[in-house]
Order: sequence, then C-alpha cells, then structure tokens
Amino acid sequence: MQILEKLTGAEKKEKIEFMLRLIDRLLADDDLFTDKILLMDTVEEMYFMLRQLALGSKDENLLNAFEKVAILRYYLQNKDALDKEILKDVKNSLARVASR
Amino acid sequence: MLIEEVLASVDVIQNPYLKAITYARIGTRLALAKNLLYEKAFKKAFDTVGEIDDPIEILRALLTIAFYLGKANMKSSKKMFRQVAEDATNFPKKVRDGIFKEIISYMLQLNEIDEAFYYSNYVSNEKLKNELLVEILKKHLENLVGEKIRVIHRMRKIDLIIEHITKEPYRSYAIAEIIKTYLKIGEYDRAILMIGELKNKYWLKQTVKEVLFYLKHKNLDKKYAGRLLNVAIDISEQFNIDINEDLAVVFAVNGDIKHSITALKFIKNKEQKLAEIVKILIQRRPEIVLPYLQALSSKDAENASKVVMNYLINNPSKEYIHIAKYISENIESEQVLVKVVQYYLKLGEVVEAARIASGLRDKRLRSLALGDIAHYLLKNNQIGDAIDLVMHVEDPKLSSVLISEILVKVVDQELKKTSRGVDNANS
Repeated sequence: MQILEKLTGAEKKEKIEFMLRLIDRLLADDDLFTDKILLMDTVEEMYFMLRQLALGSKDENLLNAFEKVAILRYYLQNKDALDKEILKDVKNSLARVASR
Repeated sequence: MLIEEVLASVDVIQNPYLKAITYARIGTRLALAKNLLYEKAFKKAFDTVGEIDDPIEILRALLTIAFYLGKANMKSSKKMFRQVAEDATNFPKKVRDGIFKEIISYMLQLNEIDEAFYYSNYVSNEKLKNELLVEILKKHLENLVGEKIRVIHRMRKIDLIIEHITKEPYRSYAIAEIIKTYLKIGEYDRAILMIGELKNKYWLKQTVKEVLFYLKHKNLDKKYAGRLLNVAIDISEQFNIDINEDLAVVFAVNGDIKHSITALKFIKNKEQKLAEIVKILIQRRPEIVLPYLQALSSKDAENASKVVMNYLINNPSKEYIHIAKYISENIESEQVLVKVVQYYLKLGEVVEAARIASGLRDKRLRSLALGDIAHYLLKNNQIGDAIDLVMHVEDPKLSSVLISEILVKVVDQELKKTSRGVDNANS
C-alpha cells in the first residue's frame, strides 16, 4: 500500500511539474502555438489532466487550478482567445500545489 | 562639471553596498560615452567596497561591479569574476551556491554562455545546478535562432550542455526546448532524433504533437511523419512508456489518418483504445471522423461507429447527419443501425428512421427500433401512425407496452377534446 501511495504521489508530482513548464511555454508567446488546433489540444490536455487530479482531491489549490483551466478552456472554445491572465492564475495555483 | 559634482554627491548614500553599485553604474554610462571620468567612478566603487563589513556582502558588491565593468566592455570584468569565484569556494556550500547562482545570472545577462556554463560546474546542489543549466541552455538556444553563422559549432555546445542536465523534470523540459529550436532553424532530422532522448510520457506526447504541427505548417509533415512515428514507437517500446494510443490520437487530430492507423496497430487492448480515440476525435475534430471510419478495417469501423453513434445520440446535431448516413449505409452491424434510428428520431427525421428500421433483419432489434419510432410518434401525438407501426412490432413484450401507451394516450386526447367541448359550451 505504501509503495502504491508513493507511486501515485510521484505521478501527481510529475504531472504538475509538466503542466507548470508547459504553461511557461504557452506564456512565452512562441509562434509554435499560433496553430489553433495545437493550442486547443494543449489546453484540453491540461484540462483533462487537472480534472483527473482534482476529482477526489481536497487540495484547494488543485481545485482552484482546475476551475481556472476550465474557464480558460471555455474561453478558448467559445471566444477564440487564450486568456493569459487566467493562464497565470492556473500557474500560480499549481505552483502552490507543487511547493507542498 | 556636473558629472564631477554627481560623483562627489554619491557619498551621501549611507549604505556602502548601494553606494559602490551607484558608482559602478555611473562608471558604465561614462565608459560607454567615452568619458574618461569612468576610471574615477570605478575606482571610487572599489574604494567603497572597503566600507562593507559583511564578507558575503563584499563579494556580492564586487560581483555587481564586475558586472557593470562587463557592461562597459572592460576586459578586467572577467578577471574579477574569476577572483570572486575563487574566493567564494572558501564559503560553506549553501552560501557558495548562492554566489555562483548570481555569477551565472550576471554571465547570462552579459551573454557569456561559455563562462556561465563553466561556473555551473561549481554549483553543488544538483537541483539548483540543473535549474541553472536549463537557463543557460535557453539563452544559448535564443542566440542560435537569430544567428545563422557557426550553427554547427553552436549545436555541438547544445549537446555538451544537455549532457550535464541529468535530473528530471529539467532534462525533459530542456530537450523539449532544444527540439523547438531545431524546428525553428530547420534542423528537422535533428529535432526528430532528439525526441529519442525524452523519457517522460507527457513530454514525449506533447513534443511529438508540436513537431507534427510545426512540420504541417511547413508542408513537410508527409515527408517526416513516418520517421517521427518510428522514433516515437521505438522509445515507447524501449522504455515501456505506452504512448501509442496517444500517438494514434495525435496523428488523427492532425488529420494524418494513415499514420494514426499505423500507430493503432501497436496498441495492446485495441478495441477499448479505439473507442477512446474516436471519442476524442468526435469531440475535438468531428471533420476527421468520417475519413477515419472509412480508413478503418470493417470490424474496427463497426466498433468505432458504435462510439460515434452513442455520442451523436447524446449530442444530437444536424451537423453530423452525413456521418450517420455513412454509417447507416456502410456498417453491417444491426446494433449500430438501431442507434442510427435513435439519432434520426432525436433530429425528428422520422421517415429516414423508419426506412432504416424496416431494413433490419434481426427480429428483436427491429422491434426495438420500431418501438422507438412508435414512442416518438406518440410523443408527437401522431397516434394513427403509431398504431400502424405497432402492428409490425413482433416482440410481444414491447408491443404490449406500446399498445398500453397508445391506449392511455388516446384516452388522454379524448378527455382533452371533451373538456374543450365543455369549455366551448360554457362560453
């Protein structure tokens, strides 16, 4: 059981670190993400990853991050714009999860 | 002379650290403007360092002065950095790491990549060292994109730096950054080869996706897609990272159906994964769904169609009617066809629904489909049509239920009519 817990903890950490750096890339104004579909897919990826982490979690920061990414995804789908301020909020919440 | 007066006035600053830095900043400006007073300014800066008590503070002040000397293009800057670095080695690890972190940060600001890389060797904390190396690498990559000359030499330096970045998550991130740069300078083969260095599932997936999209924009995706897929499959087998499913999605989302289906072949529990892939496709790229179904083998297409129809029933929209039409014409499974009937009913296309339902051979399924239609008609008060239909429902259980529904409905209507009649008589 202990090993399993350790393993799942590691996976969570890995995912959060991945997302933190992915957000850095998104914020870097790279022409890589001018492709709408790629941008959408990347945000979608984060959304599903965070949803999976947030379900059953009591970590307020994690839930916050999920809430923000859901809003981000909605804006992207319906208003066609990546709201960088919200993305920064996601990053801040995730950074707090990581620092625990 | 105003400048001389300014230099004299700096003395009013009480904090000796700030005072020294102020002299140095003025010195840089004067030197760049070729004003000879710069010598005096820097000399005063050094003299002021003597007023600082704390030894660490002294080193930090010297570093800052060295940085401003560097900004003024003075050769003595590098020598000073070396001297401070040497002195710093006498301090305990934590302090030392802090000083080297500052040195490296200054080096990057002065765009001295080699020097920064050299000093990173002195950092003892592995995590910090990796973090700093990533920064150094990023700066180096930035330079690489702008400049066309000596690219080969500079690329060799990339390999050298990445060799020293050994810890995750820094390594994966660094590799992803390198791949991005290779793409930008047109080194596509190198970019694809570099993917082989990734050992983290998430980065692998993300990077393959980025490379593929980038190549697509350059209209090179056809040329490199096969190679890309091979590299990715190799890694996933070698390190037991199962990303074939993700690859199939990545290629499919990108519209590269052929390679998506190749990736599909390597998936272990294919049936379940195919369902997931199709679900993602219909959510994210509905226009790919039809060609995807066409490209699948008949058995896979049948399974995929089931998923598609389930989704369409839950999200009925006319937009997808061509997909349903294709499925109704090409998929043999009658179970799937029943779902098509349900979808048409959701859209209100009774005639089309009835046409498909009447073609079903399986008695039970036909009954089910006809029952659905009858139910729909009842809901829309077309009782006469519903009765006709129920006559064809062969499943006795289902027909009983339907007849019961119909009878109740008829009474309802009759009562409504008479109550209206009463209302009319009263008025």
